[in-house]
Amino acid sequence: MALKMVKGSIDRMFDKNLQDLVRGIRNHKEDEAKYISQCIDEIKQELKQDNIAVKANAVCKLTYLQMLGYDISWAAFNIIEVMSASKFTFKRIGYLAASQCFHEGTDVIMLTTNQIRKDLSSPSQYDTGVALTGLSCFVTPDLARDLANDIMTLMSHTKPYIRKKAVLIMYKVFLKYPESLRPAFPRLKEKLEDPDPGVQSAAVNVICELARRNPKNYLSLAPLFFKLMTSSTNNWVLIKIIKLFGALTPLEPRLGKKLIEPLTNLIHSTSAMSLLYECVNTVIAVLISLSSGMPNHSASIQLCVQKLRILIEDSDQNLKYLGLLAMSKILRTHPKSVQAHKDLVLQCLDDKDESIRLRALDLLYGMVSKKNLMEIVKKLMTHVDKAEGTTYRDELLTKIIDICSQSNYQHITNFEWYISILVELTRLEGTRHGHLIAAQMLDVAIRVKAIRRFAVSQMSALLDSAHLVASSTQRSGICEVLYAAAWICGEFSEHLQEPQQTLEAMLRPKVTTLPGHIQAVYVQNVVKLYAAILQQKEQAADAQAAQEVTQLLVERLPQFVQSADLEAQERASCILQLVKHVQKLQARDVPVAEEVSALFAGELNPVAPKAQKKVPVPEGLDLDAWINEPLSDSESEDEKPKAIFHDEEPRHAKQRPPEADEQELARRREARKQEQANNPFYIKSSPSPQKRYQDAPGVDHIPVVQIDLSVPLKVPGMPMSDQYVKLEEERRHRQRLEKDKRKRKKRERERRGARRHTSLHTESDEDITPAQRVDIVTEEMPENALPSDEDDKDPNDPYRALDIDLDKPLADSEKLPVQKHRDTETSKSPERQDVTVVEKKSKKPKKKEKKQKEKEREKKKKKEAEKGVDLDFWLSTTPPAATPAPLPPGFLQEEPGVNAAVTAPKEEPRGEEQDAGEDAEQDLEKPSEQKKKKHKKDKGERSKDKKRPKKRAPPREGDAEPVQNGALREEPLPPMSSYSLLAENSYIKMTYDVQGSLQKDSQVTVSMVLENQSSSFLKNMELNVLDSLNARLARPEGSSVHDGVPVPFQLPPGISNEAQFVFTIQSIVTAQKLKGTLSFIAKNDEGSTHEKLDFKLHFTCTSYLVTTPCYSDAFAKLLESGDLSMSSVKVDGISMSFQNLLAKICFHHHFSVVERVDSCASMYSRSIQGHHVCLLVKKGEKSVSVDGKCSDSTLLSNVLEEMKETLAKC
Amino acid sequence: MLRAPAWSCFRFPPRRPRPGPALSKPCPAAPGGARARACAGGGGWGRIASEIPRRGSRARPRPGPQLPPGRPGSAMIKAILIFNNHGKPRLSKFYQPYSEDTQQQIIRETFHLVSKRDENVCNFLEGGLLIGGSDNKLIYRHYATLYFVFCVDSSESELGILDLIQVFVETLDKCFENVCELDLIFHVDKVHNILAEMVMGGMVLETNMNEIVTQIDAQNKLEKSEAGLAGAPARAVSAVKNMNLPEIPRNINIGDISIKVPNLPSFK
Repeated sequence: MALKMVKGSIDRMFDKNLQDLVRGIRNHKEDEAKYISQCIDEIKQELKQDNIAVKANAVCKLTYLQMLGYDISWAAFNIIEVMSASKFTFKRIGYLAASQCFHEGTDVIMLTTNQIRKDLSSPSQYDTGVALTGLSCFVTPDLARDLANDIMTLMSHTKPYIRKKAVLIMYKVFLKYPESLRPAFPRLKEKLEDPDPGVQSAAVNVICELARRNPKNYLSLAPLFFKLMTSSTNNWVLIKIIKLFGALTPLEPRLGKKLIEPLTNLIHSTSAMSLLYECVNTVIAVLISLSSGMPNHSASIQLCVQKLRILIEDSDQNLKYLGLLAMSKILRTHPKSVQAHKDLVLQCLDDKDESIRLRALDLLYGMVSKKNLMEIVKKLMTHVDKAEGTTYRDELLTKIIDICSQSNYQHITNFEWYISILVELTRLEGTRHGHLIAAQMLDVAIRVKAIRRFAVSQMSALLDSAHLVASSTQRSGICEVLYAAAWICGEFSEHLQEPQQTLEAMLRPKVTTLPGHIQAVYVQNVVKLYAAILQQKEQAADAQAAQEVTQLLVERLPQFVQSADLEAQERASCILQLVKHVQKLQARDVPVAEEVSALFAGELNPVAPKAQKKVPVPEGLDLDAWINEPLSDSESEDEKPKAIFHDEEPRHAKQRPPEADEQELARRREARKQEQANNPFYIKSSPSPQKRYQDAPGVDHIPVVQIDLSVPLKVPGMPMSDQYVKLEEERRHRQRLEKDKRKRKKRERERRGARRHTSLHTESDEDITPAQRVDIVTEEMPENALPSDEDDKDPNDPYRALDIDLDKPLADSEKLPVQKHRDTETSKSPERQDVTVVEKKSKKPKKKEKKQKEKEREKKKKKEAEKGVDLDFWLSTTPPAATPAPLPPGFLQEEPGVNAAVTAPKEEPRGEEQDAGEDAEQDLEKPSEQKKKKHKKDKGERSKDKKRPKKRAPPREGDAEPVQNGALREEPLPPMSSYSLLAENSYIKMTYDVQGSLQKDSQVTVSMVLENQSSSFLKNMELNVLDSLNARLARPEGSSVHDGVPVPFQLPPGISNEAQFVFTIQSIVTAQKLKGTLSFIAKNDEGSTHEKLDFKLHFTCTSYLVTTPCYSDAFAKLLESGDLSMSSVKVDGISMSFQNLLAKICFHHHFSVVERVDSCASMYSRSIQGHHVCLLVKKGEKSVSVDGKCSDSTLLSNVLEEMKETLAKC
Repeated sequence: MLRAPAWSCFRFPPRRPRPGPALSKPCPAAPGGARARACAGGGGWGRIASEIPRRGSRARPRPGPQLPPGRPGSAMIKAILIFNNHGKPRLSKFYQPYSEDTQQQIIRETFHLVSKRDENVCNFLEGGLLIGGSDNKLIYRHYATLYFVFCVDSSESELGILDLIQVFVETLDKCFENVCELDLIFHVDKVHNILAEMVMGGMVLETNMNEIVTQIDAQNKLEKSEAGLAGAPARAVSAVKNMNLPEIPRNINIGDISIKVPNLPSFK
């Protein structure tokens, strides 16, 4: 042994350590990759050695390589080995590596649970610390659930070093395992007043982070934080708390009123810029939350803006940046006070620092008006040209669009100008925002009817030069604009000057290089154009030309039929057939134009994005009810393929519904018009632009500017938006003159722009009239749409799970799971565990508990009510002006109240006999002193039996297993129990189960459930086994092979409990039996007797197998490797369904399903000594055949024999 | 180079100006001895320490309440990156899981964003595309040859994080005694350990430098005591290696010692 160690350490000296590796890499600049792959080979060799120091060194090097971008997940198991080293040096290396490369997908992570638990309870604070640090990086929901209780205990550790780490990591635990929040919260709250400032601030940190996500649950802590805020002198804590208040105030305006005074005082007094900045931020939040009724608020706002101006004018760029950032928050509610500083913002737009320019851009949003919009956008456009980075340019682009489109295009006076801006933006190379531009083009064209003619002319020009757009930037998103262009040209083809030319442009062969969804739109709109042309030609009685167009389509459409995109292909072939049909008709001189254009009759109206969701469910319609009862075996239907066109533009929804019959359509349209006419909020859209001019005589008064004057009828090539600026100025000048004239004549015509959706004009804005008569159609919403603001919540938000009411008293079902013995037989059955989980979810408070707790609950309600009053009371009292308020005694009392409420339900006696349903709760722990006491008692018991901790280790695997196997089950299965009867007499019944664990290759754990069937009290139980050569009972150190092992508990009448014994096994390839005896003293009223019960322990080969998941590719490799021996069995007369059969094999024989195809499945398991066992299970009519492959033939044949027995019972 | 930040509210517990070498004498471009040779391989070795604006030497003390030592930071840090002027990573710590490839991309992107900025622009940067998008911010500092970049989410106190970086670098300086890039290159594990005492799972754990240094020292002591006798030869060899002797042939087989020793249980 010693020799080995010496040898190891000498060997190790010449291994490369981290420094050598780094040096080597630096010396191999030219062939770094080669050198590193060589090093990785060496590391693989090192990992194979037994010496933990060598392994640790290897893992340390791997961690370095990971930083350089090498995947080291293959060494995950070795990392766990190093984590479990006893020396801190190695442990730290292991945990560091784990924290760098483990994540939720790492499958071996489940092996770490016990190791981490051991380290958490280690006597050395650094072992604990390093485990906590590591865990914080790779905690998974499983780990969080299993370790929550251990970590919670650490929150009251004697060392502040551990306490603060434990407090901090709780946040991660909450995120992964939200159920732990309620039980742990009282203790977390205690830590707010921890004597150690580090722990205190960690607690503030965690609570602030929680409150930021779900503020309303933490309102009741406001008084406590207020106290901390006024008493703390630690700027860090202050900043945190002030930030927290910023999150709380929107929910409770009274809190804001209370805060504003101390905060303004802080702003005036503090010299620390960071604190000042956060104070200003929170004051802003307060002011936003308050309605602007109070007079002194404008003073506060002024103060904030003033302070921010100082920050912005500071030479320190950091302060300038933050000033702008805060300013943009004020902008949302108090735009006027910010607008006063426009000069400053515009100045910042020219700053050399990009971050600052971006912030200034944000502010611009609120600074624009009708007057300066063109000017500002012009400035931005010059920035766009100058910008180098695409990020900044993209940001500019979105900002331009944001600014222009804000509040329903409120500031745009000339839409021609806007369209040309959009067209100019399409010339940007490499922008990601093509779809944004496209969406704007569509939106404007659809909603501003007057602009359609112009838009169409621009779009056809764009289509004409599509090669410019598409070719230069194939990969970028700019070609999205062609989508909009094609659609606009098609839909509004009546405005096209030269439809034929556009049609040809859209049918160019180059088009097929565009992305699929754009091609699809092209195809669709080609037909619209075609319909328009046909109409035109037929009216002109030019049959020849009409046939030529048809011919063109027949020739060119096939290129789309060959498109790689399904949608384009489908539409193209559909339309091709249609056109061919038309061609036939044309040949017979039948007029077809009418019918073809009927395909596209009707107006499209914009629909609000949420409209569909808002359609109310009609009364009496139950959407969850089955229309037809589902078929019993419908598993395949669960996995419907994802919609192929899912990613495509949602705009397809706007395409008209399938040709409903014409009359019906007309009827509906009529009805809708009627509806709209009666709806005062609906801004009417008239059926067609031409018609509108005739219909609305009043419109004439509105000065429609002579478009013909300013814009040439047809714009050759791309327009320049700049010209509009000049034109606009002239126009406005003219208008002013005109208006002056008119003013004198008529006063009552001043209501212009009244059709606008919003009318938030500044006075100067009133003077500017839009160039086009703008009729902005609002989006349609279904009738009786239910107003709801829940639409915006993201269901996938991880923080949503933490939205938990913390003031509610704890229910029993909410205690944290704790690792302990399985007390009852039933808890082992996976079936039942599954059930309990479901139950717990569906209805938390159980009926039984309900009754017991009703009284308590009433009390609690009262307390809660009191507490509510307290908060109200606290909020209603205003603090003395200057100094921080000493808190009213009222709310301080709330705390003991809460604590009492929390501890109350724990008093419930812990019934030893429990329903199956409550077993899960048995595993839960009580988070208080109550529990500690219990622990102590347990410890007392345990100290009798030193072996105990060892025996506790394995059960986790057992727990993981049912989940996995349970997932396979879809139909009800008879309850299964892996426990089998061992022996029974009038006093006691013994059942047992054997479990192996991958970590101990020669040990199995026998879990024995002892049930007292008599009316006597059983004590001094002792178990003894006659060891064989192959199998031995692990006895406490120092005892001989003939001594028994005491059972660590006593059994009152009718009670059952479980004990675990470890056996050491040499060879696992054959099954074996061990004879044993349980001796005990039975004590009743008449006296006590010494009793004995003999039994035979049966170790099947199955019990040496451990459920191990295996991926199909690894499985295939394993089978290919060829060093497995093969054997097979066949069992006839089986009626059980295949599904249940597999579940049975999984459960009883510890296999996992690798893959399943119809009635054939491959399964995998692994023995504790590392034998691979692979199965192929096939089900015939009435028989099942099992082919097995295993690295040991004896083991295989034994396992198969056992399996045969199980199957025969089916 | 770097101004003493005028906004900083965070103070260390009162202490005398440090008589350390970094303060008292100008740093030579390359230190002597083994380290100098090691440097020859390339990479910068400018003293980071000389770039640290010293708090002790700050001109005017601020009025206001004396701060207690415990200073928590803010909550969610997404990643901490250190790379040099050429974009070579010296430390990467991600508090959200990313694949190795993505991590490298993030480092490259971050370097690209940060390195093209002038010296006298602000230390905040809208996050890159890869890491978190709009909610996140990059807060960085540039010391000599190294960039220290923290990627944090929008809830952070920006000035606080800037200060945290400062604490980090000063702690490194204290633990490595006059830190330079080479220390980070060759002892990245130690840097990780120091960082682990400051930031845990993306949340700030401790910001008091003295406390951090105390814990690190205690852990080092523990490590040394564990190495004990067995560690001595290894240390000797590593010292010899550091002298850059010609490569010692590895794989020396000492006899045929192959006594079968039962496997040590690996999970204890």
